Amino acid sequence: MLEISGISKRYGGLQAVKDVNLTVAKGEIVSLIGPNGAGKTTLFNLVTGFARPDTGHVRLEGDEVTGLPPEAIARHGMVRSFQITNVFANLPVIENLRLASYLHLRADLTSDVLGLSPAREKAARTMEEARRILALLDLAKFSATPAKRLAYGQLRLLEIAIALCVRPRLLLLDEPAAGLNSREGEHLTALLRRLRDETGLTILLVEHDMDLVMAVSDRVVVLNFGEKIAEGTPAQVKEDPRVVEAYLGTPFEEEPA
Amino acid sequence: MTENRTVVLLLLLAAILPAFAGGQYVMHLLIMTFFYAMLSTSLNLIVGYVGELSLGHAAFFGLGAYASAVLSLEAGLPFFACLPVAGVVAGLAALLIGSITLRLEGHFFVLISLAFAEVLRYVVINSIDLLRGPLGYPNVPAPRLSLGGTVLADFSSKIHFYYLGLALLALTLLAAWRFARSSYGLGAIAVRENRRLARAVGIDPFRHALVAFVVGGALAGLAGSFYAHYLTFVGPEVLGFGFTLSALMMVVIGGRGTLLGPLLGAAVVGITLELLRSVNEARLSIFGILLVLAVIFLPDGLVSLAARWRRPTLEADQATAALDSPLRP
Amino acid sequence: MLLGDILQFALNGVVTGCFYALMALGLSLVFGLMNIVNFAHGALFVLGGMLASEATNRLGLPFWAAVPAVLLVMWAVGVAIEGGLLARMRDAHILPVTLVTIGLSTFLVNTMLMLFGTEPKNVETGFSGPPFFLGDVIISQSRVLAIGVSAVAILATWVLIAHTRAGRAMRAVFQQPEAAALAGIPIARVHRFTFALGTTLAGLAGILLGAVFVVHPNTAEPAAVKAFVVIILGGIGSLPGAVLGGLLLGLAESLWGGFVSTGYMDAVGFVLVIAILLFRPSGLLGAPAAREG
Repeated sequence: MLEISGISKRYGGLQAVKDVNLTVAKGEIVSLIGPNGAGKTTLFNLVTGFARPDTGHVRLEGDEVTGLPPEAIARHGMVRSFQITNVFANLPVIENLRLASYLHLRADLTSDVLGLSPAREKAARTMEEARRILALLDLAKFSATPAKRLAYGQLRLLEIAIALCVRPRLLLLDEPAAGLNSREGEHLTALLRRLRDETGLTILLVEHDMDLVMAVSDRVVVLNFGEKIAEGTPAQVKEDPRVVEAYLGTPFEEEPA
Repeated sequence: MTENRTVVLLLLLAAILPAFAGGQYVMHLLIMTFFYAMLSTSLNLIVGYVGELSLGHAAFFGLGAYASAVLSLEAGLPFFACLPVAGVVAGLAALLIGSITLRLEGHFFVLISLAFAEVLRYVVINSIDLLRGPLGYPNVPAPRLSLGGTVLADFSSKIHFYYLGLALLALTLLAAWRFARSSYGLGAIAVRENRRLARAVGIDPFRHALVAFVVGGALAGLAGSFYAHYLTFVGPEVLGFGFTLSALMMVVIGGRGTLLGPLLGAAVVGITLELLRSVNEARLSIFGILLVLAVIFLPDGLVSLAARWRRPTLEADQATAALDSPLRP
Repeated sequence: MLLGDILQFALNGVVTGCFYALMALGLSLVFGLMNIVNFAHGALFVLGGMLASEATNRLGLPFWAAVPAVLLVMWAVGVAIEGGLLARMRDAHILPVTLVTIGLSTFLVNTMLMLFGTEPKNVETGFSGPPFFLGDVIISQSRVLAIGVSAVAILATWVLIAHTRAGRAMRAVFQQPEAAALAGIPIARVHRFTFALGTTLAGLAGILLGAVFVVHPNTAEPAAVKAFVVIILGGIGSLPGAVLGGLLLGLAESLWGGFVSTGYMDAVGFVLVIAILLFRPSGLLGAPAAREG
């Protein structure tokens, strides 16, 4: 589904991402982990067009999307959320989803501009879909609430709802569990599984919450200092000495003589 | 009552008003209000929906006025032929200027939009052979509406301009309403509310800003044509910052990003501006303060007051969201 | 003689350039550091000149006493504007902030027209002795004074920003706000100080303009735009750039007006804005001017 090959990005003296290869198969949930500053969010930005890679390629189902602007990549079906909460804060929840459904609301120019029935029907179908997504995420009762009034946990769910409204083939989530309590985290785990199992969605996520990563991932990819240092099933990665070292520091530091 | 119905009701009231009040001065005030409402509605597409502060709007208004004056005086075209041309000329200018400037970051867009309008004004002032420079074009002829040889209206009386202005305003509002309700308006609002997120859900910010800019520019051109034929004089000051400033005040004081806001703003600000014309500095001084106060204390304009008043039990911003949701103009 | 003409126009350009440099220096603090598109900067510039004109002509104060008094008033005006209006909208979007400065400018310009009349005003310096002759070039005493005072003010501002605690606090607050907050720097006071300094520099430019030529409220908006031109020309946030840009614009206008045409003289600034924003690829369109994300 997603094929990242030899991608690199340098910011001044900092090699943020170095020659990373990564593939995600259809219907897979892959987690990207690594210590702070390992280049996870940079990699997300490179893949989704919010930053341009210096070298390397990004292909989505065989289509070359390297260096396209974010809006074009979203049209290819690759949609992301952001690490820092990002919603249309002033608008009610349902209007957030209406804007997010933009690509599916558009009818032909004439009926779009004149408000003819093809456009109306499309809008009605799209809003039905948006309501279904709201219900799926347990947000239906907040439909009319301005997004800025939502509690933090609901806000994170709204971000996922917004991404889902674009009807992605591949969903990229940047730390969706950050700031959630453990009950909300479990809820999110179940939700991600359901999305994969019921709709066949492919998911790539950056996450620090190891419980979530271990519970939900088919595969885990570990970055450190911009390089991929390990890849495998959650169990394999957990045992990998390079990963343990990256997370805990060098053995020398751990066991001062 | 929804905003749409309020707007339609206001237009209907305006249509029957001459039956009850018909003094020349009152007619003039109302005609100028229609004109200002057109101008501020056109600016609102850019400032209110896209959220970009364009300080060069007078360029499109002024180009429309000049196009109409030149075509009717030099080429002898009738008003109803000049009017669409004025809209097209202004729309093309907006396409050209917008496609150059809308790629710049907001702070720089503000400056460059003003710079384009000012350069245009200086060009006109200095084009003495071609555009009569500071002399401008006096005696722009009145429109004539005829059907198969019979003259339906010769615009010798203000009442004709009144209904022409009202019709053009209705047309402008219709265009603004359709823009706002189409996917273009939706995309523009998304960009205004959160540019990064808009891009992440597949919305091209530049394209949406440009569409709004061109539609707004073309509508301003129509307003310019009406202005030229009503006041019969067009000079370089139609390209000046004053018209942009007036329209901006109306949009902000009335309520950005709504259909009703610019109408209310035009009525309140426009009529007050006209009434205080004899004390020019004082009125502008007052309006400067009003603009500051409105931005700080009434950021959503007079429209939001109406919403608060109608639903006193709800918290203010919820009421605003429910009644004047920018998505349901 | 042609050479003499060039030198004379160049010298006139330097004098005008000094006003632009001072204004731009002030705006550079407000726009470059605080990121406020301050359209009222031109009105504040005129206000300085108008107050100095009143002080020297109507109150009969000597120039050397009027200048500090007016600068003090300008500082207070700056503090009032920042504290009363801008501090309320510190994190607001560019649209409302710019609208407030436009409203403020409209208010100031028209209030000045009401209070001080529509006649252009001069500032009485007492330096009315015979001009100096440098070959073919003539320079009046008041112009020498204007160049001298500008130089001193520019130097003083540079020392203040580069070598004092207040200057360090300013740079910290606007370049690394989080770190500055953690370090306990009083953010609100630094904002107020910076805006007041910018206002005072604009006022000083207006005083000097009135001392050499005349001031008139209608010059406020073109002047504000020119100050923007200058800092875009010199590079946003660069104080030496603002000074250099000011001198360059003064020269360009003077030579253009002298040799090409006076009709387009006021358009020079606007043309430059467009040209720089669109065609200077590295500094402007590349990094800060074009959109990111």
